[in-house]
Amino acid sequence: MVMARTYEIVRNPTNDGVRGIHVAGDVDLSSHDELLQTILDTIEPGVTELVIDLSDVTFFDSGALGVLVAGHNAARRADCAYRIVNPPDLVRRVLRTTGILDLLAGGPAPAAKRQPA
Amino acid sequence: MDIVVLRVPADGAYLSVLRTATAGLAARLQFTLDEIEDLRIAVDEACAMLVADALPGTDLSCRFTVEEDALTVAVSVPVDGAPRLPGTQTFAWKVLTALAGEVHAEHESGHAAIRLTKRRREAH
Repeated sequence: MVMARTYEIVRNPTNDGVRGIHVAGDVDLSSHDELLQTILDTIEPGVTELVIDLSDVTFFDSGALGVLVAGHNAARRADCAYRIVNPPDLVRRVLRTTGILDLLAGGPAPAAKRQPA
Repeated sequence: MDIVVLRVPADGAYLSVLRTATAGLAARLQFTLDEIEDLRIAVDEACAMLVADALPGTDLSCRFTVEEDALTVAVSVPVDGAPRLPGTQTFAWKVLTALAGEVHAEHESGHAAIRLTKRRREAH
């Protein structure tokens, strides 16, 4: 089955260290691996900032969240700033349900996060 | 009470079909848009967990029980001899239970199954 989704890598014309990935369509079990690979491939040497734009995502599940967290961890290991922008309500819903909206959306990281669950 | 049964290949590519069916049935019960979205995600999470454990080449069965004020979705897949029920500590399980309300996982006679029920909230 052909799924309507795209991962477009956007380069900043004036600063090659800043990359963007524009995600569109459904992010579900059938596309998790592909999205993760796209993120990992984009975090290459010299890239200092990666921005994931989710404005055109039409479905988003916990596995997709796992992909974004894995991307976050890979970026941190590579000393690359990483944030997601423009999450639509349906994405916010999953991020908020799992309690990690602030981690990925660049909001405040309260000390409470370090307390044991 | 109406019963709707869908059987699709146990493959992630078909989850979108089940999400669409879920939304269509939930709309018949006049769930709110937020409740419909909750259900779509919950069914997706349940199916994704089962697809991961399904025997290759088998089908996922999805049975919707449509009542006046509730939608129950029971999904199951064939698994091999030593099945694992979905881990209740996983992200997927947390999301599923947060969104669906009543959720049960079970395993019997070579099948792993998850059943969830979403009730329509009474209007205030």
